Amino acid sequence: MSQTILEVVNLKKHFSQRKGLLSSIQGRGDVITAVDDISFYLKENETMGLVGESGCGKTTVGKTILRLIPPTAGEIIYDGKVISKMSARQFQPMRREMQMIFQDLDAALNPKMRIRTILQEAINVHGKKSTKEVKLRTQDLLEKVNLKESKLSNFPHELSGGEKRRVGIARALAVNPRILIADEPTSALDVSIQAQVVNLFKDLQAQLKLSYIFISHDLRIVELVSHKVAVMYLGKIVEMGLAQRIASNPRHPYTQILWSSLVEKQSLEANATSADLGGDWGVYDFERPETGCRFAPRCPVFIDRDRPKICTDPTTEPTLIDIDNAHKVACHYPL
Amino acid sequence: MSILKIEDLHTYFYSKSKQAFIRSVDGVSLQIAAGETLGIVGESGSGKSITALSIMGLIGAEPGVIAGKIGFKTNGIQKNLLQDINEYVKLSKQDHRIMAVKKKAKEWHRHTDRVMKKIRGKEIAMIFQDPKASMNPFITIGRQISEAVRLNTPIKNRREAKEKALYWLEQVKIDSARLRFNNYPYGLSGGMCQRAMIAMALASEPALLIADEPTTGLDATIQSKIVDLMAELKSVLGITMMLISHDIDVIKRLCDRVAVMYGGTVLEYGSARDILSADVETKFEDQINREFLHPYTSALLASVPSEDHVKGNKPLQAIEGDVLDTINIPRGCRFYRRCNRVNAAIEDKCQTVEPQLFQTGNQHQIRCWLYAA
Repeated sequence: MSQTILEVVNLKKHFSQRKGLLSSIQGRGDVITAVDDISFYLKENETMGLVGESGCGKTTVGKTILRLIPPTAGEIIYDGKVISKMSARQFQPMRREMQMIFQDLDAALNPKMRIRTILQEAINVHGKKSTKEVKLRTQDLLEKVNLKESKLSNFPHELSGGEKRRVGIARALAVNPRILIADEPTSALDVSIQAQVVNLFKDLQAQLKLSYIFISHDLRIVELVSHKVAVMYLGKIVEMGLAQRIASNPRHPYTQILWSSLVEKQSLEANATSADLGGDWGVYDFERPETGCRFAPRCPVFIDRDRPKICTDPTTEPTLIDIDNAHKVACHYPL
Repeated sequence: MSILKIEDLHTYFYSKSKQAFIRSVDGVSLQIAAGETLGIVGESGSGKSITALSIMGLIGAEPGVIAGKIGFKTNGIQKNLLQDINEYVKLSKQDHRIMAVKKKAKEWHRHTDRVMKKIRGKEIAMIFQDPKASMNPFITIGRQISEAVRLNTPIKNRREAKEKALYWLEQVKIDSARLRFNNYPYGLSGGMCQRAMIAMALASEPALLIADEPTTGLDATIQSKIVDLMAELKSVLGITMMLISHDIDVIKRLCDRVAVMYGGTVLEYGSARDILSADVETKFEDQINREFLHPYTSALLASVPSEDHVKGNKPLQAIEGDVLDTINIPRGCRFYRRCNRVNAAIEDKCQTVEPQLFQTGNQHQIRCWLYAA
């Protein structure tokens, strides 16, 4: 049985936003709850998919785990150690073991560095190596991610999207991490290239026994690579469980809408507008609704059941409840 | 009756550092009939957007559009949007390949601007990929839409134009249109902004609407809403549309005909049902059975994650290699290096001679030696 490698307990991250001069003097301002009390764990050699619409806090979770931004509250436990409370010095050696692949590689790769320098920098960052070692390691990395050696002397802008993605992955792998946090690794890629990257992720996992947190809004891809999936809505996990079970049998109304809105499914179904709930989908405030379940204003079940009080009662915000064999849902009326 | 007929369009750019042409659009021919939706699929860099921009006369870089014919018909008048191009461009060819271009750029731009003035925005409207970037951030969306109304329709009165703009905002299903009318683009979400963009394009009541990746970069839930909206507009208003997307599912849902582009040319052209239909996918699971398609199209379809992949846990079928570099276009077939259906009988041809579009079925054309008659 594989071991739990990462555990996130009641993680919270609030950003404060100040409006105007007066509020900054008074020290008041709006608080945006980007991540609000989420918990999950990740086992070794396992992939956890994090899905949700943009702005639901997926990326913030990833960054907070890596301590790129400090959490407001909660604990992050890596390999039995609480890393969220460590000093920077104590945390330093563990940095190596968790790496992130960023979404926008045009921004994440230094445009003035050649690919060779980018990789060398990553190899040397946790302890300098000899030139020979670096060379061997570079070659090894290229092989792992299927990148041609001739690309080493290129600059990032000369590479195609898929190649840049590979460089991003190679750079993350340079320090032999155990956990990779991949933030939208396939967005902005063509389907044929997307398939290459997805296969690469799967191969690397089998080869190097990596654990992934796979952040994406592309449901199909998440379904394909993940063992388990957590669906986030406005900073909270609303449903969590095995990937296949969630895809085939979603219990939270939001998950169901998310899945049924896959365009492919719609084109196959006769009833193409099955996801049509009326209401205004485009606009919602990230400041959560004042009371109760945060999905209620968009929820079809809520409307069907004649707006039950329990959904909007502030004291009874639904929590994640195990409904079926590690399938957890935060809803008063699971489907 | 076709509204738009493109023949052998060439749009090149020049890379100074490589001292070579980037052959972005290299001999594209397409047709759109009135009321029809033509989908253009292809990977990035295949020349989809450049084709659209060439039609609009919006290519600014040099040499830009250098050859071809764009026939456009409105109100019974047939026009060539690239008329007299030969007077401005001199090409020198070698083995049917354009090796050097001399273009009177300034004069040409003046000339196209004159030709396109009454067409751009008015007869052919375009929806761009990034709605936020293509709207003026300093002007409310309502004013931007009424501006389109006043410029491109007989309505010149401000108040009437406002009413018309509100009508279009309602058509694209923007809630409380009257309120949103006074919003600035930044105050709208991505999906809303795209709707406003569509309203703006429709407000000119164009004969042809070009939509360049209208759903890219939107969330799945919102994406499907926009697709729903476009499907509805299509059936209610009967718009003629050219839809560019790399999302095959979107194309499948909205289009009547499909052109598959790769490396600056059309590799396959036919009805959407023949090329992308759902039946084909379920009936023929592996691509070997998709023999009636271009190898690129079948590989592209196979690389789209579907339910089969998730359930059967089979790996995605990636197309090996990278998108064609349009600087060094090989002599033979453009897809040869990534093709997995080359056989010994045709291999020589594939390497040396570029195939033409072979007719394989009723209005179904494939650019592949496998289908040579």
